[in-house]
Amino acid sequence: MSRHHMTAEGPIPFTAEEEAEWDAMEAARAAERANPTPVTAPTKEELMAQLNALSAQIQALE
Amino acid sequence: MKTYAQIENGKVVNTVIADDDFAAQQGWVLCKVGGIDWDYINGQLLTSSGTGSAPTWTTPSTGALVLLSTVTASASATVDIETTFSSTYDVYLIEASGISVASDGVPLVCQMKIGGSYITTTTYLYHSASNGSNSGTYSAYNSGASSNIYFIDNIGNAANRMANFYMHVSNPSSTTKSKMVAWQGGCISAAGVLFSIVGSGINTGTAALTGIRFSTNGNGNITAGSFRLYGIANS
Repeated sequence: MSRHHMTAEGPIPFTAEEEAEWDAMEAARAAERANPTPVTAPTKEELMAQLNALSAQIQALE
Repeated sequence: MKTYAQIENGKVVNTVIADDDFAAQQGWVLCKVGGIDWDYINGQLLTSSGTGSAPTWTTPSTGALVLLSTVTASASATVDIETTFSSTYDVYLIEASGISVASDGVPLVCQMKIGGSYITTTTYLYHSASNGSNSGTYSAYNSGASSNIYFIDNIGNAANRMANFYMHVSNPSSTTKSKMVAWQGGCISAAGVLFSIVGSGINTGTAALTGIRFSTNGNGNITAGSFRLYGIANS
């Protein structure tokens, strides 16, 4: 079914160019949902930095 | 001698012919000659002038908010708010209510019509806090170079899910400043979590803004919902 832009004056049909653009965008979004970007695991250095920061906060409370 | 109305407890109880001074002393209100129609301009209100003084006809204020247009989504790929941004008001308000979507767990984004075209280049900057009822930890979406303003992340499509928000659009007719919007609202996600949404965003363009376009960023249609554009009176 063709798409439209809804306005205060009523729906305005997509042009053929807009339909093609929207088809490509929806396909890209569907692909993203099917293959989500994996979350990169933190490195040892990043975890150590977090640990040091937490240790400093705990010491400040003591 | 003119025709005056006697008013008691907010109602006209009689009309009488009297001279101006006596009528003023009595607190009577002037009618048209003939005594049938009031001597007023259509749309005026009778306003108290205080104890001991006759009320007068005055033109009421139009109020702080002026409804300019309503767009109602109906299986719409985009909702375009364009009627009408101008230099009449410094700030405009979009009230969006009952926004429902066709696909589950999809975002809502907006783009600005600047210089006569909707901007799709990576010239948007935004920060949108999105905090769920299932967590006390702050979370947000942000970008310093985006092709749209991604301000709501996850709207569920079950019957009781929706998004509601309001958005301010400031100084749309400026030709020297970047175009800024600020929003606040909430949504119910695909998992039934309430998300509180607040943030602001800009496009770096400086030409006049004449429209705001909402969509799900290529994730299906906006099924329903009302988008009302108000002008906020400058004074």
